[in-house]
Amino acid sequence: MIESFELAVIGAGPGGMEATITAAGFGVRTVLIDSYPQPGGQYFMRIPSDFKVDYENKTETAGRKLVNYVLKVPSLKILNCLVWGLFQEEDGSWLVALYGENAPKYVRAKNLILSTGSYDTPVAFPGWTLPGVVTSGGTLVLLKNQRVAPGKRALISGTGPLLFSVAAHLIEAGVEVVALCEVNHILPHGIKHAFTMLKQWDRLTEGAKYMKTILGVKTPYKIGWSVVEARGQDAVEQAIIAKMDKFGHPIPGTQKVFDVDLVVSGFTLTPNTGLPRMIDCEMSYQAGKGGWIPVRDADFQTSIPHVYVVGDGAGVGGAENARLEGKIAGTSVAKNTGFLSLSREKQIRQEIQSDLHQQHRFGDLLSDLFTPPAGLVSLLKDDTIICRCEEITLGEIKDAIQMGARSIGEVKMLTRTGMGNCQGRMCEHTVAAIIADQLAGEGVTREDVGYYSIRPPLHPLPQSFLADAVPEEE
Amino acid sequence: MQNFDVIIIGGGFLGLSTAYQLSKMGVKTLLLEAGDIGGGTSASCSGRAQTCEGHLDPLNIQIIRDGLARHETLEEELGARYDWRKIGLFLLIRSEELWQRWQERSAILTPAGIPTEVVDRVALQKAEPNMNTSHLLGAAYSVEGMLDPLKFSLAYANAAQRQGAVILGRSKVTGFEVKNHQITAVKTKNTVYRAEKVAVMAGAWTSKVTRMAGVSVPVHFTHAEALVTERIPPMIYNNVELADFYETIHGKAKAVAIGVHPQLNGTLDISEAVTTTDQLHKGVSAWGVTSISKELVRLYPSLEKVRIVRTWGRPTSFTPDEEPLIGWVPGIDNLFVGTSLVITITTVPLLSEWMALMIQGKQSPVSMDEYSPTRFAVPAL
Repeated sequence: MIESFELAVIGAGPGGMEATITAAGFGVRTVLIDSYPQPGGQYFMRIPSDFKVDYENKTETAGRKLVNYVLKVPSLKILNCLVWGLFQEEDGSWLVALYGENAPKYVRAKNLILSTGSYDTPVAFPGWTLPGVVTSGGTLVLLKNQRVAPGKRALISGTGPLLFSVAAHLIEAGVEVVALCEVNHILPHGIKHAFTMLKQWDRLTEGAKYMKTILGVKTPYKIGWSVVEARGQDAVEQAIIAKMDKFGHPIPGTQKVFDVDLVVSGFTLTPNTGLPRMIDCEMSYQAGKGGWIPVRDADFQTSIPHVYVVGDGAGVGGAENARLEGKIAGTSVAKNTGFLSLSREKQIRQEIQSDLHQQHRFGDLLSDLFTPPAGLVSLLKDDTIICRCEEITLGEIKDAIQMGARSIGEVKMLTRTGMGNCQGRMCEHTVAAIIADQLAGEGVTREDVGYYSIRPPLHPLPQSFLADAVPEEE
Repeated sequence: MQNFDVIIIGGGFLGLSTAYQLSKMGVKTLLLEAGDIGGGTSASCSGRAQTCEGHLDPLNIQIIRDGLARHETLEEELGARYDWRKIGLFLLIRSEELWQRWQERSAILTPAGIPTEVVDRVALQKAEPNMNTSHLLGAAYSVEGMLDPLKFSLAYANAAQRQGAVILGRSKVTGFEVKNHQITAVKTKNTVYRAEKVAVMAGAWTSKVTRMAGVSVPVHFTHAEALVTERIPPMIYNNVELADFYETIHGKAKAVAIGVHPQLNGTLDISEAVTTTDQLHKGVSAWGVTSISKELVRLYPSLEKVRIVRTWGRPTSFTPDEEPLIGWVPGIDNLFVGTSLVITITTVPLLSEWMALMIQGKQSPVSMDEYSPTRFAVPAL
């Protein structure tokens, strides 16, 4: 017997938690599903429950409060559980397919709120597959959640304010940071955003704290520079950086070499859109929002009725933005299921509208200043591995384009990029950039190149599990 | 306005190969494909060039035997590799009646040039040591071909373009102009094309396309789903299918006919869960994905820990008598169809040449009248 709900919320980060608190708070029968053992998501990631720590920062306090709140709200929580498929049934409801040790095989829901967040945009450069090249998100999880420093001497390269957070946390953990490279030329272009920035008081104070740590050890902050290669035998031994032009091409003769055992790559975040793609939500390409995102209405409902997407998974905007979007979507579901009057819904929406607007403005600022430049593909060499699951090189992708492939789907079919365990999460950004770059002369854009289609299972699953999960006829 | 001798609708194996043959013969050809080139049902297949599973009439046997031979030199002719290779095929036999039937079939196929034999369970177990044969009597064995479906499609597409054909992907046909039982123009969203003749080779989408010209052709479809595993060390050495594939799926709302096909890169393609539907789509179902896994684990218990990485779904076309549909469509004088070949990859190199001759109003070396749409009464819309 498959249990039925009015609402399934997938992802228990700030967006999913707030959506659950809101909808379930109004009485909507809700199930919240997350892959981690505790709610919180990446931003409010809880340290393992058996860790003893003697301090808690502001973010951790806010996270703990939200997590405690969501745990108390009457709703079913299915944690430590992956969603491997969403299947629409004849009556329009959704069969949510689950993979978890103590989880049911399926739940059924009339409404979906997908709050699956974002992941580090993997930017390929020669040597990026060497052990010791770590994304900024991965570095922060190791430092904050596991209290582990992933190296002794680090070079940080990428774009955006998250680099400061990574640098400060590394320095606090005793890691020597040899340089912090920001690939974009943010000045004088950034001046116009000063007013928006002043309204982000929490973020400014957080930034100031990080700057104090970084300036305290005199870490060089190099604007308009980027890592261009990582070298080493079995792991990173050297990082090479160069000055970049505004399109992201290295300027010849500017290279510097550092001996390091850690290269942190932080080229912003990519919306995690596996589930919306799987069910064929209409998608739109927004470079500044991190890539392909689902098209949404004012309630954050997608092109498929009763399916909502909130937070970074619909365009990178941060934790507070996700929380506000979750509240609106949760309110909309409560209204549509008859648990909330139209006027009350309107009132709630009005209350948070200006906060949400401010978050969107800040998102615009980030995308204006800190989108990875398209020219970074020029760093790649023919033997650089682009798809790490299937070990496909740039040369092989160029051959496929030579054979006539014009879209990422055709390159995938010809070379097997994106056909491995990660279903293209690691290589899509780079493969699409390569195709657009190679075919720029024909006017081919990132929109034309398209995106990888996603089919269940979202994660590789053993046959034995699937064989045991045949849905019963009802 | 652009003028062509022939417009082909559909960029799968049939359309691309026929575009190549036509342009090689000097015919000014345009091909319109709604999605990616080779991205329809042609791309979503295991790449099998089947040999022993077709109907036993002389025409079918001839196109399989001669088509297979063409593949030996086709990569060279097209100037591109598509990973052509030979592989053994075991068709699993589960009943005395099937054993008898395949004895009879091999007595016809072998002398006709398609060597086929029936082997017992011991021989099957020796060839496929990881298979659970406890429920089997044995298998029919033959040799068939394998290729990479998209490389095969693109090999034809590139060769056709070199011969002067215009091949356009992402160009969905939205309608026709029809005057006096003649198609005078083919319309896409932004462009109108004129041609003397139109050939619809759109597989499961064929009847949807011809209906826009006001004629109906009896092309139906089922929906098929399949799985792809992660790469594993060699554990399966031949293609494996059921000897009673058609009986297993025929007339059922949904059924699984297990098939296993080792690929060059170490993954396994595992087919196939079939459902009756009136929807043309490329999705998969919870039932399909899990039911195929269940059948696979039953047949190969040692694969139970192997992970499924991908899946695919696609419509497969067929006609009421399960014979191909090739020829001029009654009701419109310049509309040709080619679809539902049953055994496609093997026969395409040969049939594309014959279809190209027919489209020009010439005789094909062997008559294909038995595949003509005239064998079905075509109701006017």
